[in-house]
Amino acid sequence: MPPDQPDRPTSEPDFAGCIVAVAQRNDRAAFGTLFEHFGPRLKSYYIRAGMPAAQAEDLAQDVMLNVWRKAPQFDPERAGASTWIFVIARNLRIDLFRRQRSEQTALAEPFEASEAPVLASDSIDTAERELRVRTALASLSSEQQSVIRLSFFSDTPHAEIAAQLGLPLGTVKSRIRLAVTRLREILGEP
Amino acid sequence: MMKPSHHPNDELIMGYAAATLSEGAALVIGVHMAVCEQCRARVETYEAVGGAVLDALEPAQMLPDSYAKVLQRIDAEAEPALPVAASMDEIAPEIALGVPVPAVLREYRIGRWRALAPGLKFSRITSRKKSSMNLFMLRAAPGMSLFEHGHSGDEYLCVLKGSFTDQDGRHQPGDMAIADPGIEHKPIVDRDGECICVIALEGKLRLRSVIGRVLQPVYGI
Repeated sequence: MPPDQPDRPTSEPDFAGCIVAVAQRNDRAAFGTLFEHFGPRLKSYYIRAGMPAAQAEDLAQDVMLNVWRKAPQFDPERAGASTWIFVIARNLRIDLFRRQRSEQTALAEPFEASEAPVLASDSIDTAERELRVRTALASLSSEQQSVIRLSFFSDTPHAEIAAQLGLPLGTVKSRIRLAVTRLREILGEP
Repeated sequence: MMKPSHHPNDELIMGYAAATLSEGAALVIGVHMAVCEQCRARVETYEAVGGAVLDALEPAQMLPDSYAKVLQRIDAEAEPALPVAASMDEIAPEIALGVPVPAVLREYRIGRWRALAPGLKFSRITSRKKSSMNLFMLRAAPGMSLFEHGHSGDEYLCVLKGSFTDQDGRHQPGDMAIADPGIEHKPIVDRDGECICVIALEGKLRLRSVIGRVLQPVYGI
């Protein structure tokens, strides 16, 4: 375990610790804390991805069930709690998307490559990376923050960004490029 | 395998991490990911961005019995068996790919090699059911000049075996090539061996050469 806890506001519970508690002793109180924070945000994520509220509700519940089941696989040194839960939510979305067109096809985890064990970033402290990412996002202009945020929801992010920000479709691509370039500059990655 | 030297740009890495790319594009980039440690680390960074975005979302109202329902399912734990990936046997072993099937493609149906022109073969990759995806492998003989073509949509390519050279330099196994609409390019297979690539197309190809005119009707696009 890293010696220092991530630098979070004191009001926010230690979500990574909660996942570990679920893994180690099926801690329901810890799971309740996770559910209370992430459940409504997951539902919000799926609604913004264009799903009806009822389906978003079901998927948010499915993600939380997977959080319970997969908790033993959570490695706090590799990913922060919200990142780990985001990846589960995203993978369920891909599963659903493919299942819709391929009812009887059994699916493997679609993103196994990104879950490969050896990674160049192993040396980066997780808490530090999460903090760096949040700081970087916060220092973007509000339009750039919106561009990045919207890029994570819609299957047609260009159209969505154009509609939400009132931009001509033709300029969306260059706005995304600018926002991403700026983000990468702040993150200081190659 | 040597380290790839042609990588997806940051917008694509972000789209891959967000799962907002088309299925074909995500698959071709997935083939690259399997051999590119550096890009897997880049994806992790954008997953952390996704985590931060999720964390900052305005919460939606959950149903009142939401939590109780999930606890019930945890208690029931009569878990349905986990889905099983298609076995390798189902993927026409006779295709004699000449390269191992990349893991991300194992759940797809890979057609047998079909000749397009002397020295040029293709194999279509399809989901087990209908899909609008336009994904295929292309196998070209050493020294072959592929085709000069433009696109009406983006083209995503990853080299599986051998190499080719175009205006951006040499592309070896694991290397990506991404072409925007309008770009005309003319890859030439390097002389030291055949080249196999996996390619996703969005939109229609506009082919210029003789081979192009052969290809177009066969792709059915």
